[in-house]
Amino acid sequence: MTEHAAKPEDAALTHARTYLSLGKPADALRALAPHLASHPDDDRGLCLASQAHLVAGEASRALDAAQHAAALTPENEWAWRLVALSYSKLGHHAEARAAAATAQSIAPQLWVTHAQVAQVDIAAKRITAESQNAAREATRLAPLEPDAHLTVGNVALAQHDWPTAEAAFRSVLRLEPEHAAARNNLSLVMLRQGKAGSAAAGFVDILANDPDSEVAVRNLRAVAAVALRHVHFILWVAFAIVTVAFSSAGQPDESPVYGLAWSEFLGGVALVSGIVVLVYVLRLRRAAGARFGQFIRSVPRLDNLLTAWAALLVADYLLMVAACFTSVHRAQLLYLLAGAVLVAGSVVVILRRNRARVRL
Amino acid sequence: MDEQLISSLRRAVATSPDDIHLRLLLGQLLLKNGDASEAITFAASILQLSPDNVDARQLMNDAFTTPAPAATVPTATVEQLEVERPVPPAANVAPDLDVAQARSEPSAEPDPEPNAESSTQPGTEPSAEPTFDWSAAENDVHELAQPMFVDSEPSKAPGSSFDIERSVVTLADVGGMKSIKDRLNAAFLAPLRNPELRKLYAKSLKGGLLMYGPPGCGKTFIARAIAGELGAHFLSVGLADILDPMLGNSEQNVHEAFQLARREAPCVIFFDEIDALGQRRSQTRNSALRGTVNQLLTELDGVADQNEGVFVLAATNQPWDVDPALRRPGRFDRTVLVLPPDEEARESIFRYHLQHRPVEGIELGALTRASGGLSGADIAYVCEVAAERALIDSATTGELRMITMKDVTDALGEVTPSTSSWLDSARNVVLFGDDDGTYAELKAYLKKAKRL
Repeated sequence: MTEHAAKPEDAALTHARTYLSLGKPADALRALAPHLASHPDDDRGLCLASQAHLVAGEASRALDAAQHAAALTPENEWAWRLVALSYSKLGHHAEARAAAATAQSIAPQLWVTHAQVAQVDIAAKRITAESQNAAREATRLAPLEPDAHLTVGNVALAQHDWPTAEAAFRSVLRLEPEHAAARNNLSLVMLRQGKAGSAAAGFVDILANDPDSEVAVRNLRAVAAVALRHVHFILWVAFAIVTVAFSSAGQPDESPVYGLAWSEFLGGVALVSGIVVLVYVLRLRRAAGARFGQFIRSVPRLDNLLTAWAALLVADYLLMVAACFTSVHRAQLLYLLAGAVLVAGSVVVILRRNRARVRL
Repeated sequence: MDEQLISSLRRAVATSPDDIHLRLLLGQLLLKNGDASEAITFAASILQLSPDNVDARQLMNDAFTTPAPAATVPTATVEQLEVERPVPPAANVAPDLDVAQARSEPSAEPDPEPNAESSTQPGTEPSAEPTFDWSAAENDVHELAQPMFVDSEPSKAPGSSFDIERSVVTLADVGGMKSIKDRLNAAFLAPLRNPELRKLYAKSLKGGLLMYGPPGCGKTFIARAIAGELGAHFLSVGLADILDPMLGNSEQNVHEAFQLARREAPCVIFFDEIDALGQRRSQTRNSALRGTVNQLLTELDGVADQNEGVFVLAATNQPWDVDPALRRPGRFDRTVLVLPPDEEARESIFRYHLQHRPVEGIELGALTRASGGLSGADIAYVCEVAAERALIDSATTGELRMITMKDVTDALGEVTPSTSSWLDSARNVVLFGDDDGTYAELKAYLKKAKRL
């Protein structure tokens, strides 16, 4: 049937689809309501309602609608995929896997049914050879479909297979350069590969196009945390080297030789650690390119604890440098203070982790 | 003396055709001078501009009930009315309010009977022997109403669902928000109101105004107020009015909306949620929506002076999702940020929502201070919650009680600003997506609000 000859009841379904494409599930459900009232057994209407509930974050309602549709037309693979997705969202992974397998057996010629199997496994964090095969089959059936490649990438990401994941996400972006999920996941792969600068640039790009993306904000915070963790680690190492070097020294504090050695050693460690931090930051900058400035400026606005953490690390380094230019007694005091600041930084890290857990 | 006064008033009305008071005064003088038919003309013209004007209704009533001198009733006109019967006159009699009603049923054949009844005062029995010549009166009004229908096209396109209205609110009805009013004046209203200055400075009227800001902060109300300020019709267009499942119909609906606005010029055409209708084409796979954006661009560009007298306004919560092509010069090139209401506006909103409720001891100043960051919709909800508390309490105790300050402050404690998530997104836009300074106004606000 052509769209010109669409029946009146199809109009409601088309409206609902359009609203869903606009990300307006409530409007989609409103458009569907009269249609479902007059056609309560229309599986297409029920599937669209299920999809709208899923977009609205109402997984149990989505499951009800999808199960109703699947009961009415058991051969409808769409209904089974929606059942799988709803169960997956509800955390019922075994039921989700069974429903996805049903959809796959009904329509093995459709790439989405295979992709659904892989996605259910990713959500269950149980990647098997079957999941990999399903993802590969999806791309074989639909080589030009970005979401099929995305599934392959997501399976590889779950397996920590960074090169395969990167290649898959790049395939998606070749087919659809604005694909938000692929851009996010590619940046995530970069971050996992230690390319924090590229990852930061990727997440900033996503936010420039989609400022509502909470995932990108969270990931950008993660990049900042990774960078600060590197700097924190370098400073801990510097502190540990100085502590180990002088904790066993037997010379009296008053000895001028001791004082000279202390100052020079501390100065040397501070210089080396400063250079290492600088090199790390320059590498970040080079990888992030033009987005580096935005990334740095955004950190204090995105997370207060990150700001506090960064401030503590800066304070620690300044204390170390100050200790090089003062008397031994005062220098040791500053050095101890620097150690306390490093500990405070670690406390901030723990606080951030706890806060993240509470948010989840 | 009256003749002189009437002629000078006529000149004044010609100079200021929208001045209702002048028209009313002239109508009253004409009636006093025995020219009932012209008084009816003026009363009806006032009712076109201001359907609720009590004085105009009174004048119309007085003019109808004043027996017309035989010489002033043009019999030829009555005959003409008989000849023109194919178009039932009662359908044309109706002033604006009734026209809107008729527009809601475009396909229905005009039925003279109900309209004839509607001319009768409600609750009065139709007299068997009317003392007034209704045919002559109908004819008089028929003549004055003619300009509304001279193009012989219905003002509502067949099959479309647009309703045009006459806005009765002006910016004076918007409490507080002075900076927004100033910005609207500078960006939009001043050039419109001062054609000479506009010519002098060669200021183009091309282009529309995009209002953006958090939800529930009065963008739609301001759009109506702008229409009221301009004395223009108001045509509100939402996504549901445009979207049509049939191929090409959504584009056709966009065209129909503009055509209707052009026919009814001066007219403000207001696109609500333009981010949905004019979504970035790169973001949508929906071909119908892409076509709609293209059609919108075509209509906005217009041809020659096609859009003369059509003022295009749009509102969105997410200007960053609007197709960049829509923001180019000559389209929605002027933007106004509509922020959560300031103190003065909040006080007005509280007053508005509480004034018709049984309240006692309400300290508006304290409420205003405690409600910073709330949107107008949030404040309305606070008042609802407070009323609900008093209602439930009254129902439980069986004793009616007033809404007290405590009810409202407790309700305030329950309601969190709905603008927060919008402000978070806005912060991200300023941080990451404002390379060209488009959101400088927003950035300044976020800095002031310590959100940046």
